[in-house]
Formats: sequence, structure tokens, C-alpha cells
Amino acid sequence: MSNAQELLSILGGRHRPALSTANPQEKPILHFKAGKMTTQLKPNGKYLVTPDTRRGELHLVWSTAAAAAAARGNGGSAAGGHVKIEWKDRRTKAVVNTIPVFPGEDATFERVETGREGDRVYLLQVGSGAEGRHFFWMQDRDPEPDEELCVKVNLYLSDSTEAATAAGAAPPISSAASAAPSSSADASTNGMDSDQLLRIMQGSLGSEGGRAVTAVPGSGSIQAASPGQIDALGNILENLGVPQPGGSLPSGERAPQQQPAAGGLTLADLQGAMAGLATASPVSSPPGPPLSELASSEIVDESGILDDPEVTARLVALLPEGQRTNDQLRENLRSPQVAQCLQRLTEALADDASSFNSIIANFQLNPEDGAGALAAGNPIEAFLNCVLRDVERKEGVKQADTREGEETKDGGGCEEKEGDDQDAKMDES
Amino acid sequence: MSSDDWCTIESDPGVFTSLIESFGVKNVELTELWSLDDESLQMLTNPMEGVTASVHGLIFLFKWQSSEGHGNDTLEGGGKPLSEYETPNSLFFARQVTHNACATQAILSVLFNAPHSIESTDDNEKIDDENGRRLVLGSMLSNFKSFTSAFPPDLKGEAIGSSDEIRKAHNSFGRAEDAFLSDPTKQQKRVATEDDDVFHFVAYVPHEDGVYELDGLQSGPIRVGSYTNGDSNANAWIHVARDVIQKRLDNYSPAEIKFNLMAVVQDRRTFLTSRLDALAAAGIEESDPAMLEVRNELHSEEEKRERWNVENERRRFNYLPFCVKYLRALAGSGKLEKLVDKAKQKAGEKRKRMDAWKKEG
Repeated sequence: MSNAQELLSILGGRHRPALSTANPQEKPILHFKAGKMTTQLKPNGKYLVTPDTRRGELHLVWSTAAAAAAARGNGGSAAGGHVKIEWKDRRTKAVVNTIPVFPGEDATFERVETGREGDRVYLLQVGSGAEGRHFFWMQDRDPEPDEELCVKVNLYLSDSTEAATAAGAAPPISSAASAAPSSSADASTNGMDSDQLLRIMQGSLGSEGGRAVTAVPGSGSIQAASPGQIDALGNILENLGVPQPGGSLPSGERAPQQQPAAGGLTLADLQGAMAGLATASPVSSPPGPPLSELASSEIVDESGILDDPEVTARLVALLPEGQRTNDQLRENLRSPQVAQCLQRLTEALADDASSFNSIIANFQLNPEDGAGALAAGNPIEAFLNCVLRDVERKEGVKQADTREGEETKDGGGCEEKEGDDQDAKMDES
Repeated sequence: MSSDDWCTIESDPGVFTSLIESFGVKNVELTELWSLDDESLQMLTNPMEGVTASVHGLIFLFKWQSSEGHGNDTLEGGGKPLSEYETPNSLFFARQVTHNACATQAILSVLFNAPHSIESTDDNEKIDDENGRRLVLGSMLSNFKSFTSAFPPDLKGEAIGSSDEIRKAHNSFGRAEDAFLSDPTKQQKRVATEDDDVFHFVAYVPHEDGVYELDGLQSGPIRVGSYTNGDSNANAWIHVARDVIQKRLDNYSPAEIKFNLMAVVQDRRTFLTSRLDALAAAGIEESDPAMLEVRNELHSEEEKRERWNVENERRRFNYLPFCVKYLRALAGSGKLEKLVDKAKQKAGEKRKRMDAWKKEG
């Protein structure tokens, strides 16, 4: 068994990252986590670009009837094929958008300066004109590979031969066994360099200091590989000339011997396989906690809010008419009705951008307070951030470590007249 | 049809009882049957030795555990539905038209067929309901019943589906805050998902000398048995119905269907009150154990009703302002980040347990 085959079978045989193998006319080139953005033309003639919060992936695909020929390692002739860009919803696994790039068409992928630090927005421009403009935002937690990915995408967009070769160099696993290890050629297109491999290995295997390249943004811990898997991987990596993961080698340092990966293994393949290993149970719910969890007795007690007569009084006032007592307050917090309401609020926030915006507007919160978390794909956290900032501005937040019996509030010392009204009033549009 | 206009409601005896009362019906409540055995039936009909309470009908609700290929199927093993000509004139049967209305429709089927019910068109009229033994239909339903009496089954079903009054009462038990949560520009109704109470409802009622199964998904009522209708035997029909239900259930495993059984019975409080009166009239002292037992039961019933009221109030209430205020209070505590982390952790643990439990199948 070749190293590649052995490696991939240990990793669960996921040699086809993301893309379905159903369509033999298409060969994947590369993919990465990215969200799309919607563009609206405003009355003043300017465009408003807003992020779609869905977790997605951008796939570069080589599309042709001659794909079979390419797969046989004939070097992938560029004749009769073209690059296609697909945006896929990671939750539903469905391809949502397809953007073909025909030979002769100009296509570029460039970073966009939004003026806001932390934004990782890219513009895919196919041809000229507004219809060819597609904005995306990087969703992988780690921004480091962004630049490199951008370079690669541009390379494949501008050079069909490169694209075809890259696609042709990712045949089904049986061919990998028989194909000769690719010649020295460009390591960055035919395989990955050991630097990348090392980073992936370290990150996905959960070793200290490694960055989690395939982490799902906002998720908690990544499942580490089992010891047996790590050993086996270690053997293979040795043969590939890459230092073992878990070692003291800090990420980024070059391996002593630089060899491209054995026959036909691309960065995309490995990332995909690693994704299967590292995040064994796909995170299908939003990363922020379900809001209903915040009403558990434990959380209520730990917050201490029921010890505050002012807070309690204001909450009691919002209970059903016959139940406005302190005892009933606890009962209500524990009721299935409150849990269901919080659950529906959670679902509405996570549903889509317009639903989220509608809620923010209804409660007169400032959407900018949550923009960061929202861009990172965590609408629940975004909502809570908006609430927190609003409370800071209007009512004041207790210092976490108050002195005995004393309460300090920053901002807005007097009773929250304004805050009260705004809570009770809602936009009944 | 206007099925969008009917929302889903919880299948809960407290909800259904309150729903019936909002129609103007008196002397009735729903109670859940936990088992089909003789003892449970006994508790239903003879809650106190020697004195029977009226049982107007049974409502059997079931849900397919996996909806593959079952969707709108009814249980196997039923008999042949009667045609319109074969159906006794006085038997009320409506075809199901709107899915979300099916609970209400099954309840109406029982109410309209209740033996010895009193139809009054004037709600202020003084009626002798025999100390609560007889069901009083109230003006709204009495009018509806006579209005639709000559309709064929599908038209009866349509009449229910398009009745504003009935629909409003039904929807008042739906969820209140949806309007605030959804984008008004999106046509988004609360749609029943797999986890919702997507039950099929089948009613069993006595009529003259027969026991009938009323399933809105069928083309007509099904006569499932006979019984002798006599004073001492007023509730004998229940055993017949029970046997039929049991036989149908034997075709399925618990993994395939989930079911509930509810009975539409005389209001327990009126029953117990008349019991107290009877004991007092017989000269029994207040301190007598028999008296005390009944008083205790009555007290429990009052508590149950109180609980139902509280729960229904909560169901009808829009908790969104309260919930947001609560989240603001958490933010104001200065501990939000810590609490959120804890919540995430708990949610993760729950998910793991669920996954593990699912794997064990």
C-alpha cells in the first residue's frame, strides 16, 4: 500500500473531501471555508454588502468531459475544460451557487479592504460588470492561510493548465496506488509542501502549539486522534519526510527534508480527510449556547439576579397577570413555556440574516455591537453582545468583583426609565 | 383550505378542557388514561364505589415514530367505514380537512355525539343538568350542530375548518410570540416539525346500541361493536372500545407508534360534590372517613384545576419581553461571559449524552 493510501485509509477513507463523487465530469482543485455575502443596490446607487451567516465552503472545481483522461495522469490537458467555483452550504451539504469561469474570461480573487480590522472579505470578479462580482468572507478561524489560498485561487483562475493539472493530480484512491510519485515539479500545485502538512497534522491532532487549520469556528475542543492513529500517522509522516506531530517543533519551521507528498495527495485531500478525523461529530447547531440553557436553575442561581430586589421586581412585572410574585418568578423561569420561547428566539436568530436583523431591530439594539461575532458565524453570541453593550450603555453592568454589599455601576447611575420602556415596547410591524 | 390559519396546539388535558370551556361547554373535562387495563377503566367510570361518572367518549391519539411512508395513514385493522346512507342520521361525523385542527375536530366529534347532552341556544337559561351528569353544549356549538346536521361528512369538516369562532378559540392556545420573532416580510408560519405533537386523533363514542370509531381520515364512521344500553350499563360501551383499541395496537410495536388515550368525562368536581350531597343526605357525619375522603379528592381536583389555569395562562402568554429582560438582567450581573461559557458546556454535555443515547438505539 502506498503511503497515501495507508494514510487515507487510517483517516477513515475519506479521500474525497466534500464534493460528491457522483459527477465524473468534475474534479476538485481546492476548497476552503467561506461564507457568502449578499449585494444590494441601494437607492443612492451604492451597494450594500451584508454577510450571509450560513457556514459554507468555496470549491474550485475543474469541469470537463475530458476529466477521465486527466485522471489517468495524462497531465490533464486544458482542452475542453474550465474552472468552476461552487459555494456549498456546510450544514445542508448542498451546492447553492455555481459560478463558471470560461476560458478567455478574466477572473480574479482579491482581498477587500473594508476599513475594519479583522474583516477577511474577498472579492471574486469574473469578467467585468456587476453580475460577475461575488463577495465572500473567510470562515476558518485561522487567518494565516488566507493569503496563500488567495494566491492559489488566482493561479487556477488565471491559468487553466495549472488548474487542470491540480485537478488531474487528485485521482480516486486506486489510481493513487498505481501512479508514480509525481516528479519534482511545483510542490505547491501538485501536492503540498511539508510546511503545510506539518501544520495540518499538528493542528488537527490537537498537539500543543499547533493551530487548528480545520477547526470549525466557535466550536469547543477538537477531538484528538486516538494514540493508535497518531502512531500510524507518525510512521507515514516519517516517510514523507515531515517531523512527527506532537514534537517540539514549533509550527512554521521547515522540515529537514522537503519532499512533496507521495503520489497524488493534495492539500485539499488531506484537509478533507483531516476534517473527518478532527471533528468527528459535525457541529450542526449554532456555536453559541441555546438560549434556553441560560434559564437553567443553576445559571439563575449563579447569576445572583434573584437576590436583587430591583431586578426581581422588573422581571415579575413582565409575568402573566395572575403570576406576579417572587415564587412564581422561579417557577416561570423553569417552565417549559419560557424554555420554548428562548428556544424559538435562538432558532430565529440562527435562521438567516434577515431574521437576525429583524430581531435586533425589534429590540432596538445596535447591530454593530454584534458584527464581529456575526461575521464569525455565531449569531447567538452576536445577539448577546448586542444585549450586553446595550445594558452597559443604558443600565450599567455590575463589576464582577464587587466589595461586600456594595454595587458599582458604570454609566447611567439613576433608575433605568429609558431602558424599561424600550424593553416593554416592541415593533409590531 | 385555510390550513395555514390553524396553529398547532399541545395535546394536554388541561389545554383541551380549557378549549372546550371556551366553546361554552359545561360539565366536561378531559382526563388521561395511562393504561387500557380493567383497573384504569374502573377508575374512569367508577371513581367512587357504587357511583358512576359519565364518560362521553374516548379520544385515542397516536403518532408514527418514523414518518416514512406513514404520514397520513391510519392504523391497520379497522373495519369498513359506513356510507352516508348507512350512517345513523343522528350520528355526527366530519371528514378531516385541516391537519392542525384535527385535535379540535376529534373533540367536537365526541361533544356532538355525547349521549343525553343538552343543546341550549340561550346560555343564560337555567338548565337541569342532573347535577352535572349531563353535558351542556352551549349556544355556539348547539347552533353549529343544528346548522350542519344535514351536511355530508366532508362539508361538516369544511364547516369546522372555516368556523371563525372555533378557529379563534383553538388558536388562542397556540404560541403568542411568533409574530415578534419572524420577519414580517417572510411568510413564515409555525409549521409542525417531526418533534411536534403531530398526532392523529380518533374518537370512540357510543351511539344508541353501537360503538363507533370516528376517524376524520376515513370516509365514514366505523361501527366497531354493540352494547346493551341500560342505566346500570351506561358505561359498558367503554370496554367494547377498549378491546377494539387494544386489538389494533397489537399490530404494532412501541417503536413504531406512540399513543395516548384521553377520556371526555363528567367534570370531576360536580361528580364529587354530588357525592358529598348524597352522603350528607344519608346522614353521614363530616368527620366520617367516607366524607373526608371525598373532601380530599375534591380538594385535589381544585388544585388540579388551579394548576391547569396557571399552565394555560403561561401557554397563552407572550414571554418574549420577559425573556429579553431576563437576558438583560444576566448581562447586568457582570457575569454574562462566565454564564455563557457554562451554558455552552452544559449544552455540549447534553448533546454528547444524546448522541451516545442515540447510538445505543
